Amino acid sequence: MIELLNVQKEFGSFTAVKNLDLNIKQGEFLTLLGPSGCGKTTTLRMIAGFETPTSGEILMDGVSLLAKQPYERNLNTVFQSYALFPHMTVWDNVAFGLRMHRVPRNEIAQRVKAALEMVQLPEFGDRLPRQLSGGQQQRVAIARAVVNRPRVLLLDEPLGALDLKMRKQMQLELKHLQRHLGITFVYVTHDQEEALIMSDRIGVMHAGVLEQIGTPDEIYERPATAFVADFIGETNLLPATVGQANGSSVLLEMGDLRLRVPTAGNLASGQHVTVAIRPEHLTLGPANGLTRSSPNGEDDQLEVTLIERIYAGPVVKTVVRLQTGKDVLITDSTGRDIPFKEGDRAMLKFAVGKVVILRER
Amino acid sequence: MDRRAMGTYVGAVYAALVYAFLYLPIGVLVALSFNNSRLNAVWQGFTLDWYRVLWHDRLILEAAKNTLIIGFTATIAATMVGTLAAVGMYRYHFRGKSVLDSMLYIPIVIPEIVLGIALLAFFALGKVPLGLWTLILAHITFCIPFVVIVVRARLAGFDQHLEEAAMDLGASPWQTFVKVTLPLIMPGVVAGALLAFTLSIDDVIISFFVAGPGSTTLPLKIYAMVKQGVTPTINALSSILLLVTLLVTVTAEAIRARAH
Amino acid sequence: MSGEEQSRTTQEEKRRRNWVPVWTLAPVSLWMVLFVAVPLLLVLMVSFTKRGTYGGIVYEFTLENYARFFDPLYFTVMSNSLLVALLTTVACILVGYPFAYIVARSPRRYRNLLLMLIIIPFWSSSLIRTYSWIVLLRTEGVINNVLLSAGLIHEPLALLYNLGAVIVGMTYTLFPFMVLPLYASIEKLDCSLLEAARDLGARPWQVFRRVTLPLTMPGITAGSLLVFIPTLGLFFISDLMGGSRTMMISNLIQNQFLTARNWPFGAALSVILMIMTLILIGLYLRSTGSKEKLEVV
Repeated sequence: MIELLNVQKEFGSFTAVKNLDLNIKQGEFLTLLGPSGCGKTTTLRMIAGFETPTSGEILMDGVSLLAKQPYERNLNTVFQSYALFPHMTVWDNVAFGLRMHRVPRNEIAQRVKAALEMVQLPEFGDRLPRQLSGGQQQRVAIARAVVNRPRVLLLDEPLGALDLKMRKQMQLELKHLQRHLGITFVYVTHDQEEALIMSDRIGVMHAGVLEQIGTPDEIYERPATAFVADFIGETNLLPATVGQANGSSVLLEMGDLRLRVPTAGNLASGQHVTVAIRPEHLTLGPANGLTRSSPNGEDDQLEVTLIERIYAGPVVKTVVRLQTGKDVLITDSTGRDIPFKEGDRAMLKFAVGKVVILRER
Repeated sequence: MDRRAMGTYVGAVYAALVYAFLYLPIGVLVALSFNNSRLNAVWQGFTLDWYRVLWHDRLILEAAKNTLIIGFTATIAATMVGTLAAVGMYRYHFRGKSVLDSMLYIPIVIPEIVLGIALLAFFALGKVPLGLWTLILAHITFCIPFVVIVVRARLAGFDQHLEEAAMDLGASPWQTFVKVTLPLIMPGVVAGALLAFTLSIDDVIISFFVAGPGSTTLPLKIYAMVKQGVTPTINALSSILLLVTLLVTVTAEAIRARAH
Repeated sequence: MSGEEQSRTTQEEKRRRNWVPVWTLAPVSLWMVLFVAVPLLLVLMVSFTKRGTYGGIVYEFTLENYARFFDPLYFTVMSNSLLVALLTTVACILVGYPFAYIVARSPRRYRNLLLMLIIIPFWSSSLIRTYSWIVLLRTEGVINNVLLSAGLIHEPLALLYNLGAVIVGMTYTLFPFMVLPLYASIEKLDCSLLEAARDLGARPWQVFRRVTLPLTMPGITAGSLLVFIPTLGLFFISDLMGGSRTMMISNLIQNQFLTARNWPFGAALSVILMIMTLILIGLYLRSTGSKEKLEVV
C-alpha cells in the first residue's frame, strides 16, 4: 500500500537513510526498530512529508506522495512529544484536523466525541493539555490522529515519555486499537520488547540501512545479521569456520568443537562465519566423562569454566569462559538447580537446531 | 548584631540608596510639574496650571500628534516585518542568514548617531524631503531588530513539532501560521510591539537627524525647550511621557510574566 | 508519468516549498538592505569625498577627512570622549555590581519587583531622565536650593556644565544597561560553588576574587559593552549638561552635519566611530565565542 523505492536521505554529508526499499501492507502493524540515529524516524518523517528524500520514490497505492505536502497526505502522525496545541482545549485539539478538512459542524461533534470515548477520555474535552497526565496526553494525541480516519497512522516513539507501567498498558491498548480500527500502523521505536509485543512485522534498521524485515519470531529466531541478533534480545556471537558442508547440514569448527548444524544456505568449505546462539538455547552439564559422543569428532558440547552466576528475577544468568578466552552467556529459569559454583569446569551444550549462521555483510 | 545580619542590613541600605538614585530625580521632576512656581525649585503649592498650558500649546499638541502617528505606524509596520522575519529565521536555514543576522544587529549595537546620520545622508542624497515620512521610515528601521529579538526569544521555547502536527492534520502553511504559530508566539509579538512603541515615542537621536521643519516630535520638542531653559511646562510634558512609558512597561512585563 | 513531466512537478514542488521563506524573509531583508546597509555604505562613500564650497559634496576621492581627524584639536575631542566613556563604564560597574548582587540574592518573593524597578528606567526616555538631573543640578536647581536653605553653602555651587555632570548624566542614563546583564550572570551563579570555596578554606575576599568574579565576568563584559558604546553616541547629554567646553565626538559629528555643513568630515568621523564599535564587539565576541549574551534586552 505504501512503497518506498530505493529511498535515500542525506543531511549534508551525513546519510541518514541508505537505499531503502520497504513495502508496507494494508492493515498491518509495522514497526521500524533500531537504536537512535539509525534512520527510523527520518524514514517516518519522509512518509509523513516533513522531510523530502534526496533520491528515490515513495508511493501510496501506486501514486507518488512526493509531490504532496504533509497536509495533502491521507495519513496522520502521533508525535513523540505529542505536539498537542497548548493553547487549545482537548476538544479543539481533536477537532483541529476535521475543521481543516471542513467537515460539517455536527459531524465534527459526533466524531470528536466518539474519538474521546475510544481513548477513554470522554470527560476531558474542556481541559487544556497541560492539565492532563502524560498517559492522558498520549491518548489525546492518538485520538487527534485517528479521528481523521487516516489510511495510515505514523507513530514516532509515542510511548517514549511514559513510565514503564503505563508503557506496558498502552502497548496493549494500541495493539487492540489497531486491530479494532483496521488502520495501517507504522510504528517507530528503539525498544525491542515493545516491537516484539506489538508488531505484525518488524523492520530492523541500523546506520541508515534496513538490516532485516520479518515477523517478530523470524527476527528473533532467525536473525539475518550480527546486528539484528545482538540488538534483539541477548545473544552470543561466536566466530566459526565452515568445515565440510552437504545439502542439508554443515559442520562448523569452533576451536575444539565440531558442530553439525542444519542449514539452507550455500556455504563454502573453509569460509569464516559468525554464529549466533541465544543464551536460553545453551545448557550446562557435568564435566565428567569428557568423551566425544560421536566417533567422527562431531559433538554438540565443549568444556568451559564457570565465571559468574547472576540472579535476575525470573532467570539466572551464567557466564562461562571458553578455552579460547571468549565469554558466553547462558540463561536458565530460576529454580532449576545447577550444581556448579564459580571456577568449576562444566560442559556447555548447544541446541543444534537453534544455531544461526549469520550472513556476512 | 551578628556579622551576617549586619551584612544583610548594609546590603539593604545600599540597595535602597541606589533605588533612590534611580528614582529620586524622576520623582522630583514629576513633583515639580505640580509646583505652583514658575522659577523656583522650592515647593510653593499644588497646581495643574502647567498641564493646562500644555493643553493650549498648539505646537506641543502638534508634536504629540506626530509622535503618536509615528509611534503607531512604526510599531505596526515593525511588528509585522519583525514577526515574519523572526518566524522565517527560526524555521529556515538559508545562505546569507548570518548576513541578515548581522544587519539586524548593527542598528542595535552601533551608536544611534551613526544610523541617524546615515539615514540623513540617504534621504538627502535620494532627494527625499525630510518630514513625517522620513521619521516613520527611520523609526520602523530601528524598531524591527528589537521586535525580531523579542519574538525570537519567544520562539526559542517553541516546539517545532506543533507546526508539523498542524500540517499533518491538514492545515496549510498559512492556516498553521494563523491557528498555531501566531497564537503561541503572541505574548512575544505583543511584548515586541510594546517595546517598539516606547522606543519610537522616546527616540531623540535618530529623529533629531531625520525630522524636517514642521515635523517635530515630543522628545525633539522637549530637547529644544530644555536648550532654552528649564520650565515647569517641560516638567509636565516629561511627566506625561514618563507615565505612558511606565504603563507600557508594566503591561509588557505583565504579559511576559503570565506567558512563563 | 513521463520523465519530463516528473521533473516539472518536482520543480513546482520546490518552488512551492521555497515560497514560504520568501514571504517571511523578503520584507525584512529588503528593509534592512535599503535602510541600514545602503545608508551606511553611503556614509562610507561620503567620507572619501571633498566638501563643496557651500557645504555640498564634491565627488572626488580624498583621504583628507581622515587625516584631519589626527589634528590635535579633534584628537582631544576623541580622547575626551573615550575618557568619559571609560569613566562612565567604571562608575556603572562600581555602583552596579554590588547592587546587582544584592538584588540577585534577595528573597525570591521580592526579587521580581526589585528587577521590575530596574527595568522601568531602562524603558523610559533617556532625554527626560537627563533632564531630571538638570533640574537637580542647575544653579537654581533643587540641590543648590536645599543646600542654601540648610545654610550649608552661601553661594550656589556650579554643579552643571562640566565633565563631572556629563559623567553623572551618562551613568544615570546607562546604569540599567549595566545592571541587567550583571544581574543575569549573578543570578545564574550556583551558590554551592561559593559554599565549596568556603569549605575549602577561602576567605570571603578570596571567594569573590577566585570564584564569584571570574564566573560573573561575562555579565561585566556584556554590561561594559552596552554602556561604553552608547556613551560615544549620546550627544544630547554632553550638549545639555556639558556646556560649550566639553565637546564629545558625537557633538562634533552632529556639528559637522547640521551646523558646519561639512558632511565628508562628519561622515569620516562616523566611520571611525563605527569601526571602533565593531572592533569592540569583535573583541567581545571573540572573548565569549557567541553572540547570545548580548541579548539581554
